[in-house]
Amino acid sequence: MRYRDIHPIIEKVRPYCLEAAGRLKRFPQWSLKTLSSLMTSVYILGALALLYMVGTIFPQGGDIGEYAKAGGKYVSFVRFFDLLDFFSSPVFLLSALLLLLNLVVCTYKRYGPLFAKRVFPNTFDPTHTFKLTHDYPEALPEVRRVLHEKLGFRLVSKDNEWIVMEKGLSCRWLTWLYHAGIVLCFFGLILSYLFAFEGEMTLKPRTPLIVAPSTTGRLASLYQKTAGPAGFSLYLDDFSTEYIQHPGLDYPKDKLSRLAIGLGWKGPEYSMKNDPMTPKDWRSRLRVIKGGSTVKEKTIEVNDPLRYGGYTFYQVGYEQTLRIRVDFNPIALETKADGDIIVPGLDTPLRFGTVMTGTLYRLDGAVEKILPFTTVKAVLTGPPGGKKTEDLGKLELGGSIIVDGRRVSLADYEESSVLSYRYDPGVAVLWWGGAFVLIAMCLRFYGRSYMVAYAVDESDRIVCLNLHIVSKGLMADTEKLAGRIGYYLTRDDIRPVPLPPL
Amino acid sequence: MKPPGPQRPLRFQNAKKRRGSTARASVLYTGDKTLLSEIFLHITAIVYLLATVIYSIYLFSRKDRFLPAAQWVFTAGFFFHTATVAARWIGAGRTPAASLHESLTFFSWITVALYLLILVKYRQRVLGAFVSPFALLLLITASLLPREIVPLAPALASYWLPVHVTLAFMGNAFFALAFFLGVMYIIQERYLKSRKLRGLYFILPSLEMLDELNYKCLQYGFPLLTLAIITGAIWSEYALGSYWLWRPRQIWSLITWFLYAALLHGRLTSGWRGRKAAMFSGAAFLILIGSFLAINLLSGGAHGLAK
Repeated sequence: MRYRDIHPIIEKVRPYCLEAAGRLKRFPQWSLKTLSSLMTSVYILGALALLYMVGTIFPQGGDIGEYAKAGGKYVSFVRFFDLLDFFSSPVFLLSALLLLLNLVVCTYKRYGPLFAKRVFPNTFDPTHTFKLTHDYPEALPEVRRVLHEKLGFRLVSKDNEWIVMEKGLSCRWLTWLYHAGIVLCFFGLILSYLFAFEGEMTLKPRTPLIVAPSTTGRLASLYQKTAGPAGFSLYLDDFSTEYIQHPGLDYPKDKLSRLAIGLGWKGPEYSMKNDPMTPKDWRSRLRVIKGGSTVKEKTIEVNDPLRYGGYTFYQVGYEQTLRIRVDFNPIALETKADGDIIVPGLDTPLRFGTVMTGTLYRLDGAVEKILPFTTVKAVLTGPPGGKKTEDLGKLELGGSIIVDGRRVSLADYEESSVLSYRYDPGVAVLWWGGAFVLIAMCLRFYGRSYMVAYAVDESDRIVCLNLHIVSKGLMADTEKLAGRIGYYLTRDDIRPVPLPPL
Repeated sequence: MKPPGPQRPLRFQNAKKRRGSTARASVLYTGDKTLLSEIFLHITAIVYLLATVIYSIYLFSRKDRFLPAAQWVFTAGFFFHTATVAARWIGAGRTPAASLHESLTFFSWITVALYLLILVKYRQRVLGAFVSPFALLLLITASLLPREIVPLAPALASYWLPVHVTLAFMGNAFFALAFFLGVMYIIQERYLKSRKLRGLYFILPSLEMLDELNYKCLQYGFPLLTLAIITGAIWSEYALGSYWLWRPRQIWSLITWFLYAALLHGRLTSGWRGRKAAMFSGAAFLILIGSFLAINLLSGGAHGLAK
């Protein structure tokens, strides 16, 4: 093909190419402008709200096969958009990234104007006017002195005869700070997403256990399976449970009585059968051991974790091992609480409940130590897929019951503490960001800032102070400020006479 | 001997199951303070009903003498409501927000309290005609739910409870007031558009005032919602091992935050005022209250941690 053959085509395409190149050149500027626009923020926030709604409709963490089996609809759609693991899906991550970009661009665009010259946002039309008794040359510095010294205004600018002053924290700075705070929170979230990991460990009493995570963060998992030992051990001194007495509601079976209770016509009845109690708290007395010595000690409970070496250890559960003796056999059988055990010589397995031990807080204020006891049930063969149980009674520590002629006794038990650990370097960043957001947002929304433009005019030997007050923040009150200005001018013997606005 | 199968350690959830089997609906405290709170609750509901009736008479008759009367009755109801909440607080020995009954009573109380503050600051008494039936509705719903004082689940026993709950309900209450102001705006605008100046037109404030107040309520509520989300995250980090667990309550609070953030951003641009803003704040509040009720009814209150 010769050039003259393709020349007309090139000439035809050329303007489009030039236009496309121009657009491409303008693209960074356009994208910056679009991303920093308030309307883009509105659309992104609205879209995120809708996306999150979708995320709550579908069961998270489920398996697509199970979902389809259970009669779930739109299976291919659900699979394509990963709706069962929506909060880790590309759609969600992309939308979050878009929000972050919007925030970063917005924060960046707001940074420049922070140092720009302040401009009075309105026209210089007076909203309040005072007649002054001073001469014109004296009145001007006097008004400025009152605004500066008595009311704490700072000079912003002078525009011919109009002088602009301001008071309070700068809204531009506060708005920028909480935007920057949200960006910082986002970085905390990203750190958590990339580096955080968590796991569980079971601590047996008086047996040190090296903290050796079995997992690692998302990023590190690309090149290693586990995070490696943390370099210290945990030692459980003691585990205890606190119970509170807990009467049961004797709820009536007939609907009318239930309605009567619901409407308050009839008082509910309570039952204290079998001394009911409910756990109030679980406590683990822990020691951190490093290099053979204790470096930290703490009693942790549900709302009070232990923090050490970047790790946080939470009380999440407990494990009980029961030692059961049959007849007088010196070898005890071991079982976990709420687990079934086959006892030699018995046809049916037995199930030992949780050993109730610890402190009981009674409703009458009495506090007592619970004598350790468990409940014993015979596990009968029930309907397919299920088991029926039959209560055999309560079994105290050291006590025994007779089952089918065999003496079954609770010889001993051991309580281990189940801790969850989490390593999350994003938390500190997140809290710092959160603090920025909270402080700046509260000051911006609830605080008060004023900008005053004023001019002293003289006409036919009458000297007037013309004021235009602009305020921001919910606590700002322009009328109150005007009143205060009037008060200070009066007090300093300028004797202003309020006049209606021009 | 057959060895026992692999067994999982006992979780606290298991402990909760055990508790559930002991008593279907649990009760801890049945002392005088609870009874006192019950009595005050019924008195409050009756007084709010009376206030609603007087407000309705005012709305239909447009006779100004009914408005102060309704206002006084409503304020009296608030005092009984305060007594209800205080008796419950003392009786339970904690913030009364561990069950849906307590939450609704507390939310209703905060809404009325903030309405009274708005009344003092902005002098819009007719707003009471919308707030009083709402408060009454919340109390009636609360009285239909189990009213026992439930023992606090270990995860809830924290000093974050009063902080988080109070901030969240204050934010919600401001959004509720913004919702009613939006409703008033739409009604007033309808009268103006139809050019039939009758009925509520002569009672409701100007469109400008309603829009301004709606915006103020959003400005009051939004930082409170943000505070509630952040304090909730801190609490979750302490109690549950992670600051964000993607639980439905957390997600829906974030959805609400996004919606109100979008609304506030929209208001900063020129287009989102008046009717558009009123409709948006109404929709956002309906999503907020709907998700709050649905999640708490399904999970048994306190984001499912009370169970």
